[in-house]
Amino acid sequence: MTDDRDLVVRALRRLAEAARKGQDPDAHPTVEEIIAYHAGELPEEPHQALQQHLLLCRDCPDLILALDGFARLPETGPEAAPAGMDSAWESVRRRLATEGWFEGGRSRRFRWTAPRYLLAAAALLVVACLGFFLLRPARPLRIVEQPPSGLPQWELAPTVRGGEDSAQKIGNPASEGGFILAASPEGRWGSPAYQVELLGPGDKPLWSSPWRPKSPSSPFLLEVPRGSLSPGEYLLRLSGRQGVSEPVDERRFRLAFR
Amino acid sequence: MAWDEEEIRRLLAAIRTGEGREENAARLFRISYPRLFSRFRQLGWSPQDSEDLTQESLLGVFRSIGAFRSEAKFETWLLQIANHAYANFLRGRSAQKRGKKREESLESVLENDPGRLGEGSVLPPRQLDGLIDRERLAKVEALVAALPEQMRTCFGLRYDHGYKYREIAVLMRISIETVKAHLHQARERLKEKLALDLGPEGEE
Repeated sequence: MTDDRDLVVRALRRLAEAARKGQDPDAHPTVEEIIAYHAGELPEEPHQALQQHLLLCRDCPDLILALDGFARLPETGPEAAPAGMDSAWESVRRRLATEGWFEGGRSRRFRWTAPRYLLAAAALLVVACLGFFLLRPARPLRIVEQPPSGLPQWELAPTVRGGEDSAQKIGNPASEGGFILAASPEGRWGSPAYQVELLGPGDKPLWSSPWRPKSPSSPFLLEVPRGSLSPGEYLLRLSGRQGVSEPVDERRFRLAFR
Repeated sequence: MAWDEEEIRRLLAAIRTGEGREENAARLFRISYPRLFSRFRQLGWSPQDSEDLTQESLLGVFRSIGAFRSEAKFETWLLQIANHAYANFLRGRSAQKRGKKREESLESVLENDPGRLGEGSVLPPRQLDGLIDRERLAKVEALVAALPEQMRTCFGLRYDHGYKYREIAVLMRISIETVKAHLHQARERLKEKLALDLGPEGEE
């Protein structure tokens, strides 16, 4: 080695020593990182870090070179089976048996008889259907002139103001398709048009709509689809024309479902 | 036993569904073992080490058989697992060697110069330091430190570690031509700035 080469080696070692300062001498990239680096699958930053480590390490470069040399199998195996093959299998068999590997076949637990994608599609369909039925938006309330056949109808009595527990109880009103709330005209009715409101628990406005009765004696009919109202106390309020603050009629009721 | 991809595929499918697991696993083992064992022997490992490595690799194959994609080539997958087993084996060997070296150097220090233990270092003294012009050394250090990162790494792997061009190319994941160009440029800079002569480039 020339003196100059010696000088360069010394300089390189001093630089490496300085770079190693404060580092754990036993800290190396993991085997997984080395394999990924060799395969060119490490992202840029860890790739750079590992490359820097190679300059400071005496083991990892040799590990990479060894992996590189192991890149393929020989075209053919030996003519005769290697001497220790049977005992090697026995050893592997015993270890697998200890781990319960031989009992772990899918056939003992569950055997897929249909292609996986079909089962996955069926599962998706079930989830979609369930989701539709559970999460479908409730149909809106709507005013009807004639009650649809088959729906139970509940006549709302006028609220007695100031009365104790003046809400009318309606127990388990819902049929498959919903139910009808009806309010027949009372003394103060007579307007050609009304604004109808439904207030929920705490008199919170839930729904509102204008209504023009067909005749002065026409009852107000509200179709309530199943699931659109939850149990609780409600107030149906009829007001005259816009700008008239005093309600014409109020019917308070309490829905209870079993 | 002949290496027959079709048969291997059938065996893998049967093992995965649990049909005759032990029997089919034994057959797959006997098909794969000889070639894998040969490979480790070719790399210079002893029969015992080659047996251990082959055994560990095939154990890994059975343990992760559920992860094998049926469209993949078995040989590629087997090599990946064997690669992993091999890397773990080499890493274990390196750690053993490092431990042994540390023990040896500690023993030799205890025997020859126990007073040095208080200095917090068990490394032999730098015999060259006294002979080298420190100023010149600092200049070389500064120049090498200023080399572009990839060039510096190539330079270090060549002159400090003593790797061949081909090996540096593998280690750096670059072409041999790039390695040669980096080394040439680094040598030129040292020659130009500090009149350093690193001697003939020598064998690849």
